[in-house]
Amino acid sequence: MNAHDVSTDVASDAHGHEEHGGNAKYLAVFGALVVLTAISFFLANSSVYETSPVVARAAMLAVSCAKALLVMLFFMHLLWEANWKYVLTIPASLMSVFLVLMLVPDVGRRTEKYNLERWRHASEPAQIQHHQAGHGADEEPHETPDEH
Amino acid sequence: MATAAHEHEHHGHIRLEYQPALPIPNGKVCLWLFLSTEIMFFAALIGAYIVLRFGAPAGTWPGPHDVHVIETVGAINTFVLICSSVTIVLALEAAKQNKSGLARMFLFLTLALGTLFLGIKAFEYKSKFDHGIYPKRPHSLVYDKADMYYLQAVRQRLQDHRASIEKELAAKPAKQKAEVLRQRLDVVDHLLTHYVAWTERQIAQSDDAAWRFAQFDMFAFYIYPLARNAAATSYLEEDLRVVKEELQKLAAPMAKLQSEIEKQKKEAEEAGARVEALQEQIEEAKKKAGDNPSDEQKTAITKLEEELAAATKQQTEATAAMKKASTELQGLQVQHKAAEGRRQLIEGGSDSPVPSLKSLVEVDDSGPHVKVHGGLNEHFPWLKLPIHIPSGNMWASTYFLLTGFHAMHVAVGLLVFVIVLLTGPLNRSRANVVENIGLYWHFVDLVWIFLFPLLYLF
Amino acid sequence: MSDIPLGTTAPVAVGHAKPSMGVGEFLSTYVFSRDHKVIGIQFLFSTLLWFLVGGLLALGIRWQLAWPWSNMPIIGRMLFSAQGGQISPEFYTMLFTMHATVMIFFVIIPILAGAFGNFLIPLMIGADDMAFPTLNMLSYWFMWPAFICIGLSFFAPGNGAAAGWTSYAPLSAIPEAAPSSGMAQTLWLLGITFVGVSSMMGSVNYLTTIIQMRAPGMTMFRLPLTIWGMFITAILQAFALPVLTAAGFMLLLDRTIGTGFFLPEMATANNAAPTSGGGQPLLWQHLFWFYSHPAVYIMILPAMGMVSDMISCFARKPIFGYKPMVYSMSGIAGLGFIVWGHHMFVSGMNPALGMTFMVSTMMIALPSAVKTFNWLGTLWGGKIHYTTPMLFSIAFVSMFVIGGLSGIFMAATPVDQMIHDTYYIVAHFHYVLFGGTAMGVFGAIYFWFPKMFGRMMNDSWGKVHFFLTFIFLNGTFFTMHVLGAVGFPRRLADPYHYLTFAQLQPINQFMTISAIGMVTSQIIFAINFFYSMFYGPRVGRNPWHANSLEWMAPSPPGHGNFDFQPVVYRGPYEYGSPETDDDYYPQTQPPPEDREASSDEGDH
Ligand code: HEM
Ligand SMILES: [Cu+2]
Repeated sequence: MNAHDVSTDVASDAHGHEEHGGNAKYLAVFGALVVLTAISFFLANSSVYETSPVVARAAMLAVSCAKALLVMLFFMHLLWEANWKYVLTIPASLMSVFLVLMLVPDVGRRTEKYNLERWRHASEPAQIQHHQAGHGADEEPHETPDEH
Repeated sequence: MATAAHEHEHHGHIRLEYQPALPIPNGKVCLWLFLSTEIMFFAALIGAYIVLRFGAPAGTWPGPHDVHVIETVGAINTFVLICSSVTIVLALEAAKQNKSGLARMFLFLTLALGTLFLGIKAFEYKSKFDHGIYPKRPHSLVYDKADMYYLQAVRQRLQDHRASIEKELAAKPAKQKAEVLRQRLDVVDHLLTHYVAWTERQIAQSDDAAWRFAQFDMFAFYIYPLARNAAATSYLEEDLRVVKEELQKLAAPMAKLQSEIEKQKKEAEEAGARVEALQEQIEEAKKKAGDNPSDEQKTAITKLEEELAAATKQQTEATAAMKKASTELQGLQVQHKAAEGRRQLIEGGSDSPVPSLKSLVEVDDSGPHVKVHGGLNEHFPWLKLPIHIPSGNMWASTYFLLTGFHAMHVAVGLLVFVIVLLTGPLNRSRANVVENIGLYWHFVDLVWIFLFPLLYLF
Repeated sequence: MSDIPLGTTAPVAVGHAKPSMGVGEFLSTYVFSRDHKVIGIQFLFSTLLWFLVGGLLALGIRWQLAWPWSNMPIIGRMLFSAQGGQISPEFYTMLFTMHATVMIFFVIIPILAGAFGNFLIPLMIGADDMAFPTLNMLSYWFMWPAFICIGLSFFAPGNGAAAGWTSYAPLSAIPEAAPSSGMAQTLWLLGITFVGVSSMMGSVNYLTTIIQMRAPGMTMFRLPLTIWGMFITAILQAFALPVLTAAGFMLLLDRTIGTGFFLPEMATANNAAPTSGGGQPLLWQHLFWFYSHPAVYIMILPAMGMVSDMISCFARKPIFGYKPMVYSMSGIAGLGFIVWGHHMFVSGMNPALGMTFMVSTMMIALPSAVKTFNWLGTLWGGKIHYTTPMLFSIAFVSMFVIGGLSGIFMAATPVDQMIHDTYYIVAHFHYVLFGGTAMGVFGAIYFWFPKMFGRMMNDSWGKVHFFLTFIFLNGTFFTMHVLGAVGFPRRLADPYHYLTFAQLQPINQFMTISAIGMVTSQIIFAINFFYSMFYGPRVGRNPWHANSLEWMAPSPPGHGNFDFQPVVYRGPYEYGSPETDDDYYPQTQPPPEDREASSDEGDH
């Protein structure tokens, strides 16, 4: 990104701090953050969420990542820092994602391994359909409660 | 590579020269290192949340409104944090330009915004606590599952209420208070019989598992109606039908018993009258016959006595039958009263001191959405009955874990702000301090950026 | 030591011990000191003290395994008067839990990072102190709440935590689960959290210091391998430890306020109210091992670094393959983050993960082997001086080979299913931890003792100490492989209850006798250590004729470490360089006028 990255000269720290930053830029970032927050808020209350929650959630996470990037790049001045920024942020981020991924098979999908005894005690959504199956056909079946 | 001038031996401590790898102050290196450890810390917390949340039994994780999470409040708090992020970079810019006053003002603003954030957070926590939603050993009010354990917990709670109210009443409180207490006692008793005992009986008597589930669901719905469990109210009609069927079923036998009682009573009375008449006749006949009755008289008396025996027998039999019928009737009446109480619990009625189940739900025309009014716990805040929220305990565990640790980080940041504000002007020489606390604060903001959708919108 | 004459390069500068000293000055010099050397020595003394405690706990375990249910000599009557001097099964469980906890968290980790890290990092890179001396002091003093918590744990009901050092849920998560699952377990968790905070402070400080405060000319690839070991260890701690801290908090919350992260639904024990649960005990195992596998490298990488330095110095040869050494350490660290599941092969973990973790674990053997061959390559053809530190270093290499090999056996899922939770595992980690790290640490103490105290330890007694320890160590731990191979279970108070194992009692008695011998041999070390502190022969700056910067400073170094500005011209392993007449070539020695300084990026 910038040529002076390779330099280990301390003095290069002082290079034109005035030029980046700039209050107008901060306010622009502020505006972007507010708009992005609003976007995820409306996503959650939109029909997208009703029809395909997975898409909506992915979009909200993407919005969050964008917000995080904005904050890191501008507010935390990473845009103007030397290459060390990658060393400190990327491994930690990768490692956290890896940790979560490795938790998915055992913990994220743990109900797949529930035995009968555990299911007996696990929380369940209201079992309306069971009832309809057992009792009168006079009532129309209700939809499964939406997975929030 | 840089070769620094050879400084010559001082005695004592000489100032050494270094060859730093990074063109930034040590404090900032340290802070960034610290922040990357913080990334891992929150990765563990948020990661645990994600896998626990999406691994919960399908369809159970509470939606925001089930647990009094208000998206708008979360959004407002997000906004507050974004504002505070801006004010702190502005503080840094001011400090860099040696405008200490301005820098202090912006830092103070950040402090105020951070405090506001915590205030809103406290308000949010309170709304959960008020409804008994928090993890607590061994049990908070939250039950993951509506089952026998849950039902017993409700019964226990009601019985505890009963005991404590009676104790208070025994202490002869002021008239007004006694009135309130008696009303409460009435509610508790009503719930114990027509709500708890009724459900228990339904569950004990039915061998249809689905029906039992339905009873549990409705039982829980009455206390803490969850919008998405509103479907449970579809049982109401069914339940009502069963209740009414029972009432109807009871009506005929009760009427029959009633008339049977009447009949037997009449019979018994008639037989009684006859017994009296016969006794008189026998008396008379005996008197007439004197000490030496003739054979004729003897046979007449014997005949009368036989008649009397028959009449007496008839009377006893009729009385017994009447008694039997009325006991039977009493039994039916109890059943009837229970069913009637239950009917009123569902439909509402003049004798019922509690809100009706039907009043909790309001089907609106737009479709399957159901408006839910507060349940028993809301109606009688003093009741504080256990509530059923599927996966509610895990929800509370993760929610308070994530927001709690985030809030703690906010609080630490605020503390540091105060210290920095109190320890002198924020001119250029202290710009690096402002930069470092700013980095920390932005990190706290970053965490929230992910927590907001995960906790409020998902 | 007889091989190398004592250095006489500079007069001894004795930094401290002025005749009159006020209480305040005493406190700030020796107790609340911000000087990295004092803090390092504080760590050293504290950990050696805990080493004693841990060793005694181990003898308790061994006693029970050799002569189960027999009265314990001397202290038995005192401790278990109720049972007539006999140990109880719960007490046995406590013993192995606390033994491991003390050894890992209070001995191995703090002696490497805390004692040697503190003492050596600034000296070896040419700095006057750590980047943040106060933070450094706090990192030591945060060990004390941990010491106190674990100490108190011994007096809580149950006589100490007894859920294993791994503290698996739900045993550790339900306070009613066992007598010691209550307060003792809570204190244990608090203690571990404090250790975590201390390590955290230390590691960010070390990293900043190493990154920012190297002397002019000290490029990253001119750093001694000790520093590389410390550097990578600090990175491991910085990234892995927060996960354990988070998990620890979650477990604490499960225990205290009834969250359910690690608890299944309706879990109950000893008539405790059933838990609401909804969580997963495996989550604890994952989070715990996410830290604790990298932690086993935290427990060995610094020792590997120190051993490399000692081997190169006493073989009077440059280290073989300096850069591969660095890369293999980095490789071990990187891979170390993706292998934690090998501790969970039989936990009911998803089989798909088992495969992944098996492959990644086996890959770790590669960088480990690179290191081993490099050490051998360094020794090959060297002018080896069999000093005490060298003996310990060679022992380190050979013991690590044995431990590493058994590790590869266990990495294979099907094999591990047979030997998991047997004494095979115990043999493995004692070979790497005692045979490896502890031997390396002993060597390092003999090696850097002159720098710490300005006096030499006695070499002959050192050798006696070495040979006794080495023999008894193998007597104790090698036999464990045999036991493990036939399935002798670990963590069981009386395995002889099962007839199959009854015949193994004599082997166990042999091991116990060896263990007693091993502990007893340490008396020699203790006497040598304390005697030499006061009466050992004084030494100059560079008694071993080594190259790295710490040997250029006075022994012991005064406040500020260096009495000159160190400038570095080359790497630390230039032994036998043709450029000089000496067989060593200190990093600070300017090159002869007519030659350029050797190129920075080290052409080793
Ligand atoms: C060649 C490299 C290594 C490999 C392949 C390896 C592999 C393993 C495996 C598979 C286990 C789990 C066995 C089981 O519980 O069934 C294990 C346990 C263990 N390893 Fe290693 N290991 C290696 C090096 C090390 C090193 C260098 C250390 C420490 C300095 C170490 C310390 C431990 C400890 C303490 C345990 C036991 C944990 C417990 O269950 O209490 N290992 N190792
Ligand atoms: Cu491992």
